[in-house]
Amino acid sequence: MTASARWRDRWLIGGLAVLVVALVAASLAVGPVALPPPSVLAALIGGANAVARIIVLEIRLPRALLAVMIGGSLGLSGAALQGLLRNPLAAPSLFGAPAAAAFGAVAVISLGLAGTLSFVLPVAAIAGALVSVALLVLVAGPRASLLVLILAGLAVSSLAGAGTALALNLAPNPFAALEIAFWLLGSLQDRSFHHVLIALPFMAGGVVLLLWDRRAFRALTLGEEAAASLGFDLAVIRMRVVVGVAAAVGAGVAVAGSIGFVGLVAPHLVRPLVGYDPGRVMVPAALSGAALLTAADIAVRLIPAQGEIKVGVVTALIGAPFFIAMIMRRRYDLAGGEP
Amino acid sequence: MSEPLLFATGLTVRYGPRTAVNDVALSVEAGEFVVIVGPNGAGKTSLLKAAVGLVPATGAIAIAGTPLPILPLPERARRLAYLPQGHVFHWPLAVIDIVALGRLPRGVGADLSVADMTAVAEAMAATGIAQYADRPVTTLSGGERARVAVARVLASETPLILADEPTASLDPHYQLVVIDILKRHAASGGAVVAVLHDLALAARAADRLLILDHGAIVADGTPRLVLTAERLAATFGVNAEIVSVRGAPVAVPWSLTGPAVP
Repeated sequence: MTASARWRDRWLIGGLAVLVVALVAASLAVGPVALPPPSVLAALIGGANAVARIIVLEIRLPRALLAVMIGGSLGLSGAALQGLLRNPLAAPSLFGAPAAAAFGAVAVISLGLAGTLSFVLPVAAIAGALVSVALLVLVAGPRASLLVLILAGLAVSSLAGAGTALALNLAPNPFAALEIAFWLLGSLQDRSFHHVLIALPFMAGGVVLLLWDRRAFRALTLGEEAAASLGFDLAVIRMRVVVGVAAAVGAGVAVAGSIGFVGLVAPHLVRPLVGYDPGRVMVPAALSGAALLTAADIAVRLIPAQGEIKVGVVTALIGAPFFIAMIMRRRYDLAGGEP
Repeated sequence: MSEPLLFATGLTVRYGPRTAVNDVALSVEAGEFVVIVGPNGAGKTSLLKAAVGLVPATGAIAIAGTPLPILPLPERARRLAYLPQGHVFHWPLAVIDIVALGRLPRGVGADLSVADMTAVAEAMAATGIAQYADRPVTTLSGGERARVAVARVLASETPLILADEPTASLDPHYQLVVIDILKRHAASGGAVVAVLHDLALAARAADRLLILDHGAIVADGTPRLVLTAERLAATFGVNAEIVSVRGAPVAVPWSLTGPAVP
């Protein structure tokens, strides 16, 4: 990387970080109870009255932190997968981990082992994501080609979807079914620091694994064979990305349900600002994902509705048309471009 | 006498039941410009890929004296550079950033050192693409992209270059430019193994010409020795006129030896 590109990246990352911090501050101030900024600030540093402290520190802060963590890991996972697959349309759901995590959680709810806010649930979801990786490797083989890996991911996703459908089908009562259905929509409402602590180690591990291969993603610009000739072991890198995505995204699904399209959209927004470099896009994509999800989670509190609209619904409503537009713009390349 | 930059013996590549490369022995010394020709499907690309370690092969391969299986991947990438067919670029990176990818095996950090910058600048100058340095590579023409791909390989500054059809899609001017770049690399103490389809270009360029047919080397020597009408008839199924142009043999395929294969 040239020195000027390095400086541009620093400015971009700094600017995005400021944006995320501003959105987190806004997220702390928005909710059913109107708190003026001075009370929010006072509550953060232990001042203000007890009610304001509880609202800011125990209700809104975990929610804002989870939005940053989940959005960030979705953005990073999307950027890593797009780098690995050399395709801007790749999304974290590709290898089945989010679907498997959702199944793990839903199975627990359906079996009556836990309510949607219990800690058994995230543990089961993370286990589901990790089992999906094991299944993926079992189906595709340890040194699978990308195409086989994608098809195996589709199979794992379908299997997890079938499991989720079965759990809904066998739900002991309509309330459980409703609970599952709502949980699947994806929300950050009523989450606590316990959720932050459960998700954090898996996300941190996933982030480390995903950031590991930035140089390889740059090399993959030249295609798999040239990248391999430049000294990268692609079979190992593929596995690292699959496990990293499963850990990072699985942990997110574990505490917040399914939140789609952030991983697709976030890298896309910052890619032109880093010269389309699949290595340099990683950190900005994570920050852009964090900003997107935090903003969406503020929006659900501002949209007037009976009950709160789930944040997963908002990201899907914005993300899906965005995805359609991306496909239409790339129709020519997708049909006749490189395989 | 130093070790050959590329040494292979008993080299065999199989894809399932099909044998693509069959018991090939090959030794390439520093200073050699070796050109491989052969019909479609003869195993030329498979031979190069096996030498890089991209496809599983049996037999022995050594790069500058070290057996390929025990050569760590980054060190292998510092000893040989591979230019695949097709010159694919998946992201619209600036040309200078593409060329700098050739330095990846040498760098640990993200920043380019002075040596890296020098190698990149020299590679771009040698291939005549310096004026495109900041252009997105995907906006270049086919011929320009091919030169970017060659520049990336040159920037690696590896002793050995393995190039699969480096002149495909180039006009005559840049065919000669690329061949001269590769020849200079060999003349300056490196070695180049290139697969070419153009027999005239191959004969003009090669110090040593190999003909690969059905996975086996059927001829190995100077172009004058290797390019005979009989050999071309047997290998390619064409009647060719061999003429001498300024002392170099040029094969001009003229007609088929038998009925066209459907």
